[in-house]
Amino acid sequence: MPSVIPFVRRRARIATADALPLAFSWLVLAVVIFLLAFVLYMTFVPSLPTEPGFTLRHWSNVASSRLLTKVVPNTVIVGFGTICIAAFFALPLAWLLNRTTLPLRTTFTTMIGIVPVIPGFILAMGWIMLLDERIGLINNVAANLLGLSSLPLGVKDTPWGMAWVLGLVLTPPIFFLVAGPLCRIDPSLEEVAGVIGMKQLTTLRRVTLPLVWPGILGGLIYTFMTAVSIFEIPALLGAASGKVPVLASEIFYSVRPGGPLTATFAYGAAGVYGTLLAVPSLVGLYFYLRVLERTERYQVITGKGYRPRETDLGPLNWIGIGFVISYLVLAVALPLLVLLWASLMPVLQLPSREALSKLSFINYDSLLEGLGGIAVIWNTVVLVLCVSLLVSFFSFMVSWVVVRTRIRSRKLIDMLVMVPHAIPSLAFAFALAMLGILASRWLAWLPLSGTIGIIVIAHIINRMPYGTRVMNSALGQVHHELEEIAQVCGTKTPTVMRRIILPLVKPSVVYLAVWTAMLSFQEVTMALFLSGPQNHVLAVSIWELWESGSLGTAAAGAVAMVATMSALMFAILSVARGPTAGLVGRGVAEPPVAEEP
Amino acid sequence: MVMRFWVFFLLLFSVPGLRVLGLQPVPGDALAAAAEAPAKGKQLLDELVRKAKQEGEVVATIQSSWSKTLIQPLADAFRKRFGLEIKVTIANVNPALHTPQVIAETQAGAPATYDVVQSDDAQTIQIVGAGGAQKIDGWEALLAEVNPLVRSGKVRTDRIGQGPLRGHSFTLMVNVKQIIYNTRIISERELPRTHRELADPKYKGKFTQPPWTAHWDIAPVAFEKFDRNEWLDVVRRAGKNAGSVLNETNGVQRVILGEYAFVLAQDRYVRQIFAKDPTAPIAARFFDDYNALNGVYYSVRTRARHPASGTLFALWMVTPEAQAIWQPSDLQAVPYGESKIDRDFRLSIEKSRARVIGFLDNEKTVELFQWYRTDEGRKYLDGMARAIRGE
Repeated sequence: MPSVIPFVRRRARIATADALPLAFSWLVLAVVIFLLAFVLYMTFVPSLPTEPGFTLRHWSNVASSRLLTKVVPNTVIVGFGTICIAAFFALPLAWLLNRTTLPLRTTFTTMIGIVPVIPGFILAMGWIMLLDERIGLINNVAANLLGLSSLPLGVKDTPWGMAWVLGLVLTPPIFFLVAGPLCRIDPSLEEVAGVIGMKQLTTLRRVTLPLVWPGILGGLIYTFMTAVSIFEIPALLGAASGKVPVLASEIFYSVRPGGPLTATFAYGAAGVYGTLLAVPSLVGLYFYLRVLERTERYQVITGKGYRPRETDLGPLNWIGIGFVISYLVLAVALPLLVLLWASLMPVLQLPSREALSKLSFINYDSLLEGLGGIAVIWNTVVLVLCVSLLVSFFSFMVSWVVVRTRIRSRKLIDMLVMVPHAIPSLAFAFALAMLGILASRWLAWLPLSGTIGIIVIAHIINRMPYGTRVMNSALGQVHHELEEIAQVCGTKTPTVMRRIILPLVKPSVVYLAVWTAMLSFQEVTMALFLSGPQNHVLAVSIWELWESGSLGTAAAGAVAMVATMSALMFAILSVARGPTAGLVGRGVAEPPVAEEP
Repeated sequence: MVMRFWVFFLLLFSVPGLRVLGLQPVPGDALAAAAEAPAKGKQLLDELVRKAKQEGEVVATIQSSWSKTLIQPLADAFRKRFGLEIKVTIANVNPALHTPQVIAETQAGAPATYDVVQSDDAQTIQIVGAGGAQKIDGWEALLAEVNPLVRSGKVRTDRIGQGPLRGHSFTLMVNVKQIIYNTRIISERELPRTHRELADPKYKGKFTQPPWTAHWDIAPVAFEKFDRNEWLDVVRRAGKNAGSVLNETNGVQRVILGEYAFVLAQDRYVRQIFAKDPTAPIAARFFDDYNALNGVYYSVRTRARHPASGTLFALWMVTPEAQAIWQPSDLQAVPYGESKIDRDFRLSIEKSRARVIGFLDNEKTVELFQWYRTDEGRKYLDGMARAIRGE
């Protein structure tokens, strides 16, 4: 009987049982720590790591009045503005599409899943075409209606404009992080609130929201970190011109300075900016971990059966549908229309009668060849599959250690695994590129530089923070009693993982795999930086086309990319019995455990 | 004063400038040298081909802006030209991103990722300066053997291997920095005539420029009297005046959309836009004070895994045969080429009497080029890059 097992023996058995997830966790963390150390080391060397010397120049160079008066304030506005916008859309959307009887929830949820596949620069271009003092379609229509010559309203050269576009782009991460927990809440808690006379809104505020608080907080922190790290959207909207500099643009111009002649590429400075970016992220992370410490409060799945409760909005359904459609129009329909329009134009022009006469499918001719042929497609498939599977696996292992063990280092592990998200991906990519070069010199047998493998490693490290947030949230909701019962029966930890916990959190794992696959599919910065002759992927090809002026072909490629990913997402999630995290959560609500006596 | 300036300019720049642009007649000694080359060239070429066959592969870059549809035809034509049955890998690479990698590989003593790389003159001088490019033994004889324009004496070898890059890098193509504008928004008359005018408040918010310094950094040799700090101030005021800082391609795109009236960009974008849409509302104009000439080169990397096939590829890419494959798509001019694009390119400069200045034009430009590689020069350029962003 377990109860008579001496305490020491039981503790030893638990320690052995945790060895496997702990080993995998430290494997991935070892790479993270090594790369972090390398990035930090770079801030103290004059130029390249192969050169001797020590300097504090990068730190002193970065410390300027401009940084304090312009860059940091702009970054703070962009970061907080983005999470305000994203939360404004994501939280109601998550509730509407998971806890109400709103029609077409499956379709709506899947459409939200398309947002990350749409390249950010297309969305930014779309908003410039809509809201610009000179060429904005909305401005022109509104100015005509109001009898004005122009309407001084735009998204350019203001941190609020950047926050608006970034907020639309980053709504899905919060939505999906909250959607899973939201539809897995034990409805009896809300029913009790109803019994004691709480109104629906009060129940939402005092019962439902606190229960999904870790998911919300995780999503907000993740979104903040992402918003302040993204370069391409702020660059198009005013950061590149120096009018609204943000930390991400400062990093970019450190690594790619003004001109090729100035190619003393200030990687050290990039590391310094990266470290500065990490500070607010780490503060947010501290609060997040404090919430997670009380994870038991959020365990809403127990061994007892339960059914999710859905609120019938009645006549308010239309307001709900209107809200969902508004978001989808702003974040999906608009950029897709711009994308489609750009792909049909020989040279991008604003819609007009003349422009309509120029529409053609010429950009779709020889599209596959123009994107790099089968080799590029194959590389992309390998990248997406490897990253998706490995991130899901390692996230599960790390989250297991963090959420389901009492190992002393679990808080440290959780913090460390989150740190890569606070460091700009470019800094990690650079560190990996340098290591690849050094490896080709001294470890010629190690296939790293210029391989798909090096991009896979970069992606895994970059995606682990999000992966572990999803898995922490999912595992945090499965009560310990389930595995305790199994352990009482003598079941070993790997079997508990595989037979009990994994089926319960399977929808979250599937969702994480799909989501990671999509993000890897469209990621450009790291893949571009780590590109070699043999490892070009689709997103890089599209970016190169865009950057080289072949906007039409780039748009055609992006249309093909969005269509492919949408189809794949539908297919995969259909197989996984539920379109996205929302319905995935419903899958959790009907687990085998609940059906068994 | 104005007259003196023009006399100075003509003396200083016209001859080398014309040489760069391919307008100078070929002197007799060059023809004689070319005539001596065949025997040696044939021997060297045979040796290279033999080694290339042993190596069995070549890995080369083309610019990221080149269409991927060019890769297969280029690979096939290259193999056919030298009777090689080797693996040819050609990848689109952004030289601005790749140059630091080249330098890092060189400094680390690591093998080169690419055997042969394409880069512009500023990047190439860095690569050569860092020891990242091999000197090709007998390159002149080899050029005479491989390139019909050199063999026939129409083009001197020093037009393909120039100045401090001689023997290391081969000129592939050139472009000229100028103004590209939207004809529906601004007339040719209203455009700024000089770079200084870009700082005029009347152009505030009306134009966009790229973040790189290529439009501004040749200025010290363009003016008789030049004050570095004063020029930096001009760049800064123009930077503050600019509506945005965007890559040239994106800038051109935004000009066509009508968001900006004009953009500082290279000439080929006009050709590329008109090739796609002949009715697009754009046109180009040279500056009156100066227009920077930017060259693009091929270099064989130090510690290349396939040096012989890399050398063959670099030599072949600057031939009319290769040009006939890539130029109809990229539309960039070859300074010594004979195609319609090349002729029109030279004619447009000649007609407009534009001052076109390249870093490899003469001793003074080369001196400036090399000064930019010193600590003082780098600091100046860093300041210029920041000034472009209005800092």
